[in-house]
Amino acid sequence: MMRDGLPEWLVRLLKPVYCVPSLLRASWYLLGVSRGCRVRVLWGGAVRVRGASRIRLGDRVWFNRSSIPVELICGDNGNLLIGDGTGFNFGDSVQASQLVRIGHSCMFGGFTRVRDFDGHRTAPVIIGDRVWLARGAVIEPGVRIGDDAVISAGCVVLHDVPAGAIALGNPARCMPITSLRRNGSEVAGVESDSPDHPPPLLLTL
Amino acid sequence: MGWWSKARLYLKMHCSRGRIRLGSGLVVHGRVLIQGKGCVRIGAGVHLDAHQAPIVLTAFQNAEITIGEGVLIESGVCIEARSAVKIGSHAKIRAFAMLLDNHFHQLEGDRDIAPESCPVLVEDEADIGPRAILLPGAQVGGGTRIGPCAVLSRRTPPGLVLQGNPAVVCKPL
Repeated sequence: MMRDGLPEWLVRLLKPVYCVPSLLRASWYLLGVSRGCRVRVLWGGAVRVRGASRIRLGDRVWFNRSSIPVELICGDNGNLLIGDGTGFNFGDSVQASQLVRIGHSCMFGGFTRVRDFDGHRTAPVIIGDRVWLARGAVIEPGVRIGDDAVISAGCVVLHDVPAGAIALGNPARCMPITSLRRNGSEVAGVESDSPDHPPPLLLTL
Repeated sequence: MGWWSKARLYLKMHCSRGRIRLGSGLVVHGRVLIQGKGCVRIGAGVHLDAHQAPIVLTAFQNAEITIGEGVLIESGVCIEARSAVKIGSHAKIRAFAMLLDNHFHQLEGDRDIAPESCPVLVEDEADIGPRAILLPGAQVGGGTRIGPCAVLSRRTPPGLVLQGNPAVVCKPL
């Protein structure tokens, strides 16, 4: 990016100028969607919208630059509500046929799927504030996710997730974030010598 | 589209001051995006098959993506490196698999700060299944097969089949 070499104060000064293209892209891609101020689609990003009149976006919602478009699909009787400051990464898909409500300041990693019907049943999906959905997470119908929860990568959530918990695995199991540990760097069922590097904080079970 | 995409890659290589290196005999179908300020090294005879969706290789500053000889990378694969992602020769990365060496957000505290990253290593002739996710610290042994939709963040010995989320050993190859 061009702005990397510039001093901090100049970046802050130029910020209104830099965000103009993304604001224009938002008004193009989100035509007919009722949205708050400063909704942005970053350069290279794309959003596919169906049922635009029943989708509501809060302030400062942003869609990341991407190679694969984000889908926002709302059925005829559905409501899709997205809170302030929520960010979407590439390949995300949010489908609402009844109600999908997403709180403010959530983070959506790439290829996450949120939907409130699965062809058999329809139940509202409610996602709290400051929730982090990591890459490839799938939220099934009828799930409520509490504030500050973390859904780890590739996780398939079938049941409710309490506030401040982390959901891991498929099917998802919940645990408090504080109970995660920095050990166990081997796959279950295998014995081997210690790894060469310090083990990372594992975001899988 | 393949020749155009390949031409763009070679143009990018020539403009990159040695950051991006492409080996001989590269086969490209569809769009391949190389992003970021890090190094990308692609070995000889690599097949980038992005028919369905673009392949995204993102190397952030001071990071390195190394792809060995004869590797097959299918469509929609996303490799993001903040320290290092290394793929050995003749490995296969199937469609929509993801290799990440950083979680990009902290679990606690300020989520805008990225935590420390941990290199991801795929050894020779490993096979990463479609939609599998390799998280920071994943080290796939030589010839190991990771099943579809598996999620792995640990080290595995060579010659096994792993499946599931979290990935567990199914059987020897």
